[in-house]
Amino acid sequence: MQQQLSHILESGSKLSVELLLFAGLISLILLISFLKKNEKARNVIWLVSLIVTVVSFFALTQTFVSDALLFNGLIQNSSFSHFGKSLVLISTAIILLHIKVMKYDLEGEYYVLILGIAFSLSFLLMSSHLLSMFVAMEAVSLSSYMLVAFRQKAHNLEAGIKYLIFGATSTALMLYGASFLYGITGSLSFAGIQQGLTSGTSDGNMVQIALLMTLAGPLFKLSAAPFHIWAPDVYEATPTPLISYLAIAPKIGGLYIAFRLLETVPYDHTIILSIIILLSILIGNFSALTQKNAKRMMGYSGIAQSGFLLVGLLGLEITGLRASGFYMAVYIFMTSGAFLLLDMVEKQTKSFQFSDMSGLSQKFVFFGIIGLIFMVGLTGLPPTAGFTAKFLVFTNVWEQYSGGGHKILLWVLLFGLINTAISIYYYFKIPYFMFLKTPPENKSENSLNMTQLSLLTILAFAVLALFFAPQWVQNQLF
Amino acid sequence: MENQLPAMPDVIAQVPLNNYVLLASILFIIGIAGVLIRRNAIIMLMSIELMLNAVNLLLVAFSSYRSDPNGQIFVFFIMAVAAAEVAVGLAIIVMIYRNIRSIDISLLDKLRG
Repeated sequence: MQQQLSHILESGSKLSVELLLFAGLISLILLISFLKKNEKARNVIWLVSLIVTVVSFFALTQTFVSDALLFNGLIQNSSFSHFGKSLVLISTAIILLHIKVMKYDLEGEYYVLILGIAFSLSFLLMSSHLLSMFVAMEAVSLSSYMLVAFRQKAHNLEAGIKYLIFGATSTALMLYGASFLYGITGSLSFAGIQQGLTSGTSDGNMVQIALLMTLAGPLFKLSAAPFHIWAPDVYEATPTPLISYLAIAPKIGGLYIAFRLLETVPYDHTIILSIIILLSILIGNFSALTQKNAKRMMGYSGIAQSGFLLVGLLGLEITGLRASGFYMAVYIFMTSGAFLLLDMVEKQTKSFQFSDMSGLSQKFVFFGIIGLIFMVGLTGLPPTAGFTAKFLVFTNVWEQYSGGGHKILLWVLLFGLINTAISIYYYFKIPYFMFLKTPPENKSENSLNMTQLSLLTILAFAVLALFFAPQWVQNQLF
Repeated sequence: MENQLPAMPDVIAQVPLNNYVLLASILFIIGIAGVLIRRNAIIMLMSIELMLNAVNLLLVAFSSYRSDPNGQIFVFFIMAVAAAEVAVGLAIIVMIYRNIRSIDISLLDKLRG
């Protein structure tokens, strides 16, 4: 008993970042309850949430990474989770800045939900047990549902209820698969499941099906096929900074959990994973081609990108995982930049339709060039880090294939390359309309806000810099 | 399945494990069919609840057959989280009803493309 208590106390002391975030959440809730509901109070709340994020980030850089199991094996603070947590906090900070520079006057509750997602994600990134994985994943999901539906307009609520029903169904599928994994091995921790599967004589097909069902949870978080249906609707309806956050942050957790689950079950996953990747890229790219609304296009592009993110997990080699981690880091800057670009365009034209963007860059040439960088990056062409990221994940596939891998790997490789070419068509639609179309006659004479442009430039600089100096991220990678 | 586990009480063993798995699977499939076919938001939430309860039944059955309490602890967590999820879901449904005077999901078709 005494020993257990001291173990729990000792485990708690290792969670300094989470405790900081939690203290920040509590103080935000207190501030919301006791401050008056005016703009000044909302600015204070924004500032507090930014400070909490930045302080937690610096606390994270100071913490020492150990692979020890905490809380009786519920939590394991590995170096990959350390990297993931820093990505989560960076994206949180970018989104908070995005909210401020675009002059969104959001109520305090939004910040609680945003920090709540960051808080639950940092637990999701440490989970090494089906129980902690489930609770953390649901905490992320519940905050996301509320974030989507919070504005209470008809289309927000529509997106919210669709998101909730798809999310809850995929959670139920995940639990159904997880309960079979528990039934087969008699253990809920990842290590125990792995041990039970390697030592026991279990039916391989049964385990594969159970694993595939369990993957429903992380695949929903990644918005990968076949759990992608919610993505375009939610992307279209949600306010831009919030969907920018929901497009990046949960994917970090989903990628990590997908890796942990695949690693837990010691079978060959090449075929299952390849089919998921091929489907995601196919559905994402071909649906994005016909979109007229830029935000909806980003939704389909997110599905395709999560397919590319999963490519690094093929074969479960450490180099592949590092490639996926690098892809994730680049994806954060590219996607948040692209959403900020769309938001700035929307401020000028009052819509997200491609046709309304006509001729915008003829007026603001610098703005157009910066926007072009993000689109080149999302496509995966040099000289942006998007190219490096795609190159790294496909190198992983090629090495698997040339090392005697399954034939389907070659398909993934070829298909990925062809689809990169196809995606040029829809990503370059935005620069095409902005540069080459003639602007409409009665244009409003808005000028660009310099703080917005400087944040956009910083993000674009990150996308370019990681091409020339990928070691900045790679040295941080486990 | 394995021999090294402690014996379970005789009462539980009177119903074979396969029956529990079968019942849970039937409940789960009814839940999935409900989500796919029905268009009333509350009935969809009820179907999701049915799926989660099928999982609970399965976990409790496995837990008893393996004489391992972990599964039953998991069930409590699933119940608590399901309650939270339904709370959020019902709040959204109430707001939808105030907006469109109906909770029929198929009437929500503003987001298309």
